[in-house]
Amino acid sequence: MSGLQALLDLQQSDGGWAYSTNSSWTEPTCYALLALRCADGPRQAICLTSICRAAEWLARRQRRDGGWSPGQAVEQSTHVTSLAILALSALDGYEDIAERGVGWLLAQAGAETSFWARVARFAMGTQTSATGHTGWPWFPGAAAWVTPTSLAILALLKQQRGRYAPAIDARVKDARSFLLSRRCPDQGWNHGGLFRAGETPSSYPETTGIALLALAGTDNSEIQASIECGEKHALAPRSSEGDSWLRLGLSVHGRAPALSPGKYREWTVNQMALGMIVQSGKEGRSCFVDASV
Amino acid sequence: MHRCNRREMIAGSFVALTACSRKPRPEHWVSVIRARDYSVDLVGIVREILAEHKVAVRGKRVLLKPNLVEFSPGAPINTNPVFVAAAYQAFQAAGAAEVWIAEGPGHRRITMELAEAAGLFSAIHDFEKCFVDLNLDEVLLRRIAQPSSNLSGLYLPCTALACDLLVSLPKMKTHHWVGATLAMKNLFGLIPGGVYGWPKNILHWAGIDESIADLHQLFPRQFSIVDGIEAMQGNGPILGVSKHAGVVVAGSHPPSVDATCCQIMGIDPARIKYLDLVSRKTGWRLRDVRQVGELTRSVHTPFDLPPGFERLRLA
Repeated sequence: MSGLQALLDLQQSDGGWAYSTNSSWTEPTCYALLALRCADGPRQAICLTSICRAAEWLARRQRRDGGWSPGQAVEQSTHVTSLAILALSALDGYEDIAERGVGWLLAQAGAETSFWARVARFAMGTQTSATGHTGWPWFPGAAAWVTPTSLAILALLKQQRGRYAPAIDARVKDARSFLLSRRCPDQGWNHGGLFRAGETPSSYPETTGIALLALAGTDNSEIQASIECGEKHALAPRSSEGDSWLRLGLSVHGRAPALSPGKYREWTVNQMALGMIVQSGKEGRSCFVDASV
Repeated sequence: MHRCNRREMIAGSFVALTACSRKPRPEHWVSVIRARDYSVDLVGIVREILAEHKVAVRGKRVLLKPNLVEFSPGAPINTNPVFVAAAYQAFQAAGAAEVWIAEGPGHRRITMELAEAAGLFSAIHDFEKCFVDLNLDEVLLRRIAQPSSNLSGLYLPCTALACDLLVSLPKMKTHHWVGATLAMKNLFGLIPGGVYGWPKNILHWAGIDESIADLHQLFPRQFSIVDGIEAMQGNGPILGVSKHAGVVVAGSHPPSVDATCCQIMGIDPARIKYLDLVSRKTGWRLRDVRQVGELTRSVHTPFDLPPGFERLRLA
C-alpha cells in the first residue's frame, strides 16, 4: 500500500504527475495512470478519484492534431502519444480521444523511411534490411528508434478493434520487423542505432525488455536468443527501469525472473509506477498487452 | 608649411583608411596545462585557470556540464568523476553562489544510475542534491537567429538557461561523425531527452556540425575545461580506446578551446566542419587563438582517428 499511497501523494493539483519535481508532464502521468489502473480490487477503490483526474488531465492535454506533447511548454505532438493511448485504453468515455491519438500515431514514421531518404540510400548503396522497415521516432522529423517503436506497437495493439484496424495490422507487422532488424550482436536491443561491420555495441536491459514486450505473441523460435539475452540482463539490470521492463518483456514469453523489489532506487515517477505495474502481476502485464496476445 | 601634393594626399588617405578599418583582432586565450593523472592537484589547477582567465565567479550561479554517456568500467567515455569533483570544489572556493552539475545523457535515460556507475556519487558528497537531470528538466523554446542547421528553435532546459555561467567539462575524444567531441559538442547533453528522446536524433537530422554551431550561439556565457588526461582515440565517442594525453585545456571561447585540443590530438582544426561554420558566422579565426601555459607542440600527441577520418590529420 505504501508505494501506491506515495504515488497518489505525488499527484499534482492539476491531476498530472511530474517526473520528480516541477510541473506535470505527459509521460509520468501516463505511467502513473497505468499503475493506478493496475491496482487490484480493494486498492483500486481508493484510486478512482485519482484515475479520473489523471484521465481528465490527459484529455485536456490532447492537441488538435490528435497527439500529445511531452509537457506544457512544448508545442509539438511526440512519441508520448503512444503512452497516452495506452493509459486511456478501454477507459469508459475516452474511446474517441484514444482513437484520435491512433490517427496521429499512424501518420508518423521514422524520417529514414521518407521517399527522399530511401532514394539517397539507394543512390549511395547503403540500403540494408535494417533500413527497410518502418518504426516510430521520438520526435517527428527524426529517425525511428526501439523505444518509441515498441510503445507505438503496444498502443496500437490495444486499439485493434477500431476503425483503424487494417492499418494497425500492417504497421505493427512492419514495426516488429523493424525491431528484429535493429538487434545488437548479442541479440538484445540498445537504443536502436545502426552500426558498422566490425562494431559490437552491447544491448541495454531496459530497451531489451520493452522490445520483448512489443514482440509478445511472435514466434519464440525467432527471438529465442533475444529472450536469453533478456534473461542474462535480468541478473543485473542496473536500474529499476531496466528491471521492470525486463520482467514485463520476459513474462509475455513465459519467463519469470525472481522479483527483487527494493533492489534499485526509484528516482522518477516513471520508475516508481513501472515497479508497481510489475508487482501487480498479470494485471501489470495487461496494462501493455491484452491477455489474448 | 608643407602642402600635400595629389600623390601624397591619395597615399595619406589610403593609410588613414586602412588604419581606420583595421580593428584589433580579438584574442582568445586558451590554457594548456599538463596533468600526469587524476591524482595531481586538480582543484588547484582549476582555481589557477579561473584566476588566469579572470572568470567572474563570485556570487554567480554556475552550471557544470560534464560528459556522461555510458556505463564504462575502465573506458574513458565519461568525464572523470575526480575531474568533475575538482571543478565543483574550485568553483565553490572561487565564491560561486550556487554550483550545479547537470547532464542529459544521449543514449540511456537512467541518468542517476549512469552517474553512480561513473563514480560521481562517491566523488561528490550529496551528489544528488547538486545534480539536475537535464533530460527531465522544465523547458523553454529558444529561437535560433540565422541558424546554421535547419532548426528554427530548440526546447532547452530551464536550469541551463537560468545559469550565469555554463561550464562545459567534456572528455577529450575522437568522434565517428564529426572528428572530435570536445567543449562544443558536449552541449548536445543540454538537449532534453524528455522532449526529443534518446538519442536526441533531431540534431543528427538537422546536421550534427550545424547543430553544434547553433547550440554554441544559444549559450553566450560559457567557459570550458576539457578533461584531456585520459582521453579516447579511435572509434569514439563510445567504442574507442584509451589514450593518455595528460592535459587540461581551458578557456572562455569554446571554438578556440576545441581548436587547441584538435592541435594537441593531431587533428587539423581547419578541417573540422563545425569550427569552420563558427568561423564563417562570427569571423573568428584560428590565428586569434593565444596559448597560456604549455605550447601545443610540447603536448602534441597524435590520436588514432575514427575510420574514414584520416583526412583530418594535421600535416
